[in-house]
Amino acid sequence: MRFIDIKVLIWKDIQREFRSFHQLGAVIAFLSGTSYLVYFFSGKETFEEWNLLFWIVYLFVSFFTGYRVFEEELVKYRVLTYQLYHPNVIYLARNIYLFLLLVLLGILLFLIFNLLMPISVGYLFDWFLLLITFNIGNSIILSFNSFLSSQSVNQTLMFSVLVLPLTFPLFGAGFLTSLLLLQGGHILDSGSQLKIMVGINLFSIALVSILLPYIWKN
Amino acid sequence: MRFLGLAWWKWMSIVLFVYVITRGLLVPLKPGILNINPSRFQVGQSVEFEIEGYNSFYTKATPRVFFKISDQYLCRADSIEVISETKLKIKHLFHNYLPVNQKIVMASVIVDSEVDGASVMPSKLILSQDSIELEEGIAAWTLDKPAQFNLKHKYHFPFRNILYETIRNTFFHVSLWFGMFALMFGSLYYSYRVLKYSKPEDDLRAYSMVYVAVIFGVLGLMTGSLWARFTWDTWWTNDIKLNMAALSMLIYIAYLILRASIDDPDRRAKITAAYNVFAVVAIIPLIFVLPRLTDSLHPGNGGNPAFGSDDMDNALRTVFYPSVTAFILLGFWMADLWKRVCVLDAQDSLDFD
Repeated sequence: MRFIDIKVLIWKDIQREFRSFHQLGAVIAFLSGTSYLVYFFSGKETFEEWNLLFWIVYLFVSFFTGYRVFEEELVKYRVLTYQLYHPNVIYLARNIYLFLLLVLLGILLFLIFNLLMPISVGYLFDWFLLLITFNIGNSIILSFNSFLSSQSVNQTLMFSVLVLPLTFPLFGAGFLTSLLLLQGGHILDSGSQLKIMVGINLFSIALVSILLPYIWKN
Repeated sequence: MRFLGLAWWKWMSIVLFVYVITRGLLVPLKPGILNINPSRFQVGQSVEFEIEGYNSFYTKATPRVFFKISDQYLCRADSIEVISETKLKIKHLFHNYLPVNQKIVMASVIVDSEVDGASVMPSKLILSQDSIELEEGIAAWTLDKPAQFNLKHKYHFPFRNILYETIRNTFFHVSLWFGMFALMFGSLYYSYRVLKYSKPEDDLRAYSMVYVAVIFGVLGLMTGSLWARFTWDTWWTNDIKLNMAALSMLIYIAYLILRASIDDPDRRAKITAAYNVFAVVAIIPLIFVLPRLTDSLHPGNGGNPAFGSDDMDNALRTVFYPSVTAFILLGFWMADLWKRVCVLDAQDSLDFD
């Protein structure tokens, strides 16, 4: 596995994204639209409501972004790309790309929410760290299940069915940690929630590394 | 006889089930105290109240009644009138002072009899005093000689307040979860074999085990919900263990949906096996780790002991362990039958084609 290959593939994914920008554009439009709806209907927010709404919107944004990772690849192209690069490298590149995209969308959502419904966050760097820690596991689970659901019929629905219960603990831990940050705490104060996120990240990395070689051969 | 030898574990599960159902449902609970009415008193005056017993035989031997505060202070009731097998009328003059530095204190009630043994209702009486005289209170609440309580050595299940007869649900609710986990780990093994050796039979075995595990899981949720209705007065609570159990069921229902949505058998076997491995490993933190990190009503979680002397005694264990074994064996038996049905289905569809 060469680092340069991963870099090339990530760049290819970015290029592909911008050549057919309508898909990412739709996700950003959804993100902005729902944020505006939240602002329009909810009035003055408390910490708890702001946090809850943020994570609900982010859940849907993650799903819409995640299911596209292995969406458009026809079998003949897959065979071709597998000749060019090792499937593990392709998977890793897509995973890193999804991770970066989710972090960026998380920051964008945070900015839009803050623009419409200003709220003070004690430690912005901690918020950024939370997004990174959360999205390591989130992107792995999303991309792995996107790969699995791309093998089935009705991929979008199947993706939601597979991913929702698996990401639930991660979203729960992210939600509780961000609530703590909004109340002026540090990310390290969250203790067990942070341990849960790190634990899920580690077990997701381990499982995907073990399982991937068995399923791409399909 | 050869048939019996081959299917010994199936026969064993039947025998164990008969044992669990007969012994688990017929053994009576230990005598206990169901209610005390009224239960709030001002000290320094003579009071009257009734004690309602459960499975008790008060007419066979007149019991003694004690009041207890904070593990060390004890006083004995002045007069006891036996009304029936399960009802006592107590008359008692509480001394003017209590052995504590508080104006209000909770006291436990102990009913001790030669026939029923000793039974306790913890922190039921609420006693209040106008002023505090600690030394006088301690003197009044200290017995001249230590109280010797009767022990009853009959085979009974423990009497637990709130649980009462529903304690027997331990043999079904908890055992169903044990059975479910055994099946899940069995399916994990066969999913691993699918990924390693690509044998269709292993895929069917993994699938049938998941299928039966989901049935056990749903039954576990139902028996748990029923139990919660009697003990916590609600069908469902926001308890983390309940929610994580429901979530693990969703993960496995997703497995079944995924399986139904892939037509090619080889691809289906590989993809669902990979998802199953992911699912089993995901369920371990959901059920065993997360509930221990936060408060929970379930034993063994949120700092509560599991299978300690408070919720499981030796009488329960004599039925509980056979029950767990019976459910695990029954689960594997059902999975085996379901696998055979799937094989016949597959053969039928081949014949039809």
